Amino acid sequence: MEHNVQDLKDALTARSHTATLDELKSRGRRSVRVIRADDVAQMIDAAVNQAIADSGMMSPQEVEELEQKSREQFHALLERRQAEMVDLRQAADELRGTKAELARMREHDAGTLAEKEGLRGERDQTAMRLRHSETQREQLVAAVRAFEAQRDEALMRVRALEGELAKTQAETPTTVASGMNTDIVYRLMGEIAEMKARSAMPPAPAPTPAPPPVAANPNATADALAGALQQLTNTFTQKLESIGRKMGVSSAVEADAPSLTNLFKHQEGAKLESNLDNLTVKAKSATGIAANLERLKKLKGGG
Amino acid sequence: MTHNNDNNQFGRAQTTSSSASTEVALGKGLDVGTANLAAAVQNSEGGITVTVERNAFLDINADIYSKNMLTKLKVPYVMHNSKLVVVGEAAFELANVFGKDTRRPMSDGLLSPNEADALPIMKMIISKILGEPRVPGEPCYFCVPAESIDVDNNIVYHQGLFEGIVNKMGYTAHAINEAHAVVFSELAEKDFTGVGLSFGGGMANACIAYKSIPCVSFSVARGGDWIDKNVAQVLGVKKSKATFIKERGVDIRDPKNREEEAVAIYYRNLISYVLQNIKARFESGQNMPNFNEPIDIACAGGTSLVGGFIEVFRDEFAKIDFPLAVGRIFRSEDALTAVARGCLVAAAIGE
Repeated sequence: MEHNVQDLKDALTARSHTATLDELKSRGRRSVRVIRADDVAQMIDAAVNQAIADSGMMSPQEVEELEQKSREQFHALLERRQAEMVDLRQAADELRGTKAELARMREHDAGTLAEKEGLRGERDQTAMRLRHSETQREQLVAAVRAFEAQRDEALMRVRALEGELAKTQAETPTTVASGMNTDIVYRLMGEIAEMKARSAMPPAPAPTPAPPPVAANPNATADALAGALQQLTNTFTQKLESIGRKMGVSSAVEADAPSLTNLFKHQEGAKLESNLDNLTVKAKSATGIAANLERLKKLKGGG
Repeated sequence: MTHNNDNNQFGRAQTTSSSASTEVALGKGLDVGTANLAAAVQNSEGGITVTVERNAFLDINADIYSKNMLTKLKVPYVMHNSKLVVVGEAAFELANVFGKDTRRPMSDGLLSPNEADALPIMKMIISKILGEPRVPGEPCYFCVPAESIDVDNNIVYHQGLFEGIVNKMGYTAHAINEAHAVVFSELAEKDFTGVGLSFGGGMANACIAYKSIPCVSFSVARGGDWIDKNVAQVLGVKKSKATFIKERGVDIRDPKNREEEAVAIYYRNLISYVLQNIKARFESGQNMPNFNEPIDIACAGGTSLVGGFIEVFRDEFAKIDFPLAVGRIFRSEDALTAVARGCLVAAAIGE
């Protein structure tokens, strides 16, 4: 029977062709009738048995025995196929479960990735803020150092001037009441005024050779440095003021930069004859400055 | 030196490609140089447009024939004190033709007291190259030299005077140190840290900057004019002629004749002088920063345009024991406009 079924399948395969569902649809077929090769074989077997019985070549008992044997073979085959079907269904269920698990894992991965990106962005921003703070700190430290150097230099000069003043007073007691030697006074006044002007100027910042770790709050550090700077300025100014009072120049203040606008008022209105207005200015293109601006903005913390 | 033999237009030009995606910002840069005046402005293509004009003029007789001829040839002139004054590059070329010296409104980097009546003419040239402000009070950054360490000069008067001129044109004028402008235009890649040098006509300016902040600025009162004066003396020619020899394409590493030898000698001397002074200023230790890494030295200015300049600079640099570690020594790719571009950067950023 099994052999016959296989032969039948081969015969059917040889005399048939495969058509896809789309092809059938394109031919206007919405449904097809399906018959299993086993059923066809069974029908053929029944027809053959009937033909054998009708032919009288085998006794009815032999036919029945043959039929019984065939039926047993058939049931055995059927059970085997059903067992295979159960296995297939289980495998399909397992595959579906695995796919669902895979989808869940992918979804979880996407969430983790987004979270990681967010953290990376935050890390970059924090690093940028730290760099900016570091630059500010370096500039402030450099400014304080430069100022301290200026202050030390000026204090040394102040001490020297005090010594010189004391010496002059000791050497010329008669002139103290009415004022010291004019040349010395003018020179000392000039030097004190110069020192005052220098102390009023913002110190030039400089880099530090080995920067310490970044402070937790850069604004607090900046404020503290600014406070220290202000304190130094006040101390130095007070010292100068005390010397200045001794010399009678404490009330001296720096004048504003002179305005020179009036230098031109006599020339305004005098329109000169020329042909410049009739000539085109010949311009040229030069290297762009976009990259410079971007860097400068970044450096100043605005980019 | 960039030359333009076409006198039909006012100003000289050269073309370089530039990037094309920058937003056009307000602000203009003005290089008030002894030898050249240059104005820079951002254009709509994302690059910048620079107009350069020689800061010189020449008096000629104010007869009707000369006036007609200048008009016909489109040579820029101004009538001043009953004289016909040819201005800019044309004045320089005419002076060489007639064997005369041009008049120079500035000397040693500052307004020349001998040419006080040249101010209205200079004002007209500046007005022409700078153009009208795009909005009232548009910022205009103009360069001023630093105080010289070898002569006594008055920067305050010079700065105040040009502030007045630029403000009168409808801009809001801001002064910026000339070499600091070089730092802005050339040392971006180094976060604006290093030494900017501007070799101008009247002076050589130096600025040592840290992260765009000028730590030390100073100048020496020697520049292209000093070379011209000395070359003219030793060769027995007019200064304009010496300038012409210098600018006609000399390579100071390989002078070809006596004239070029003279130019090369004084160039080398100028470079050596500037370097020695920078070194001395560093060694004096006043307000000098300490750098963690080697710093770059950027050279710019019209005087640096001569062939072989940067090689000779490096030669002379190697001879001195410079107190700082130096990385790259280079000349700006656009040395003539570097200061104007730096001023423009300052104007655009509102430095």
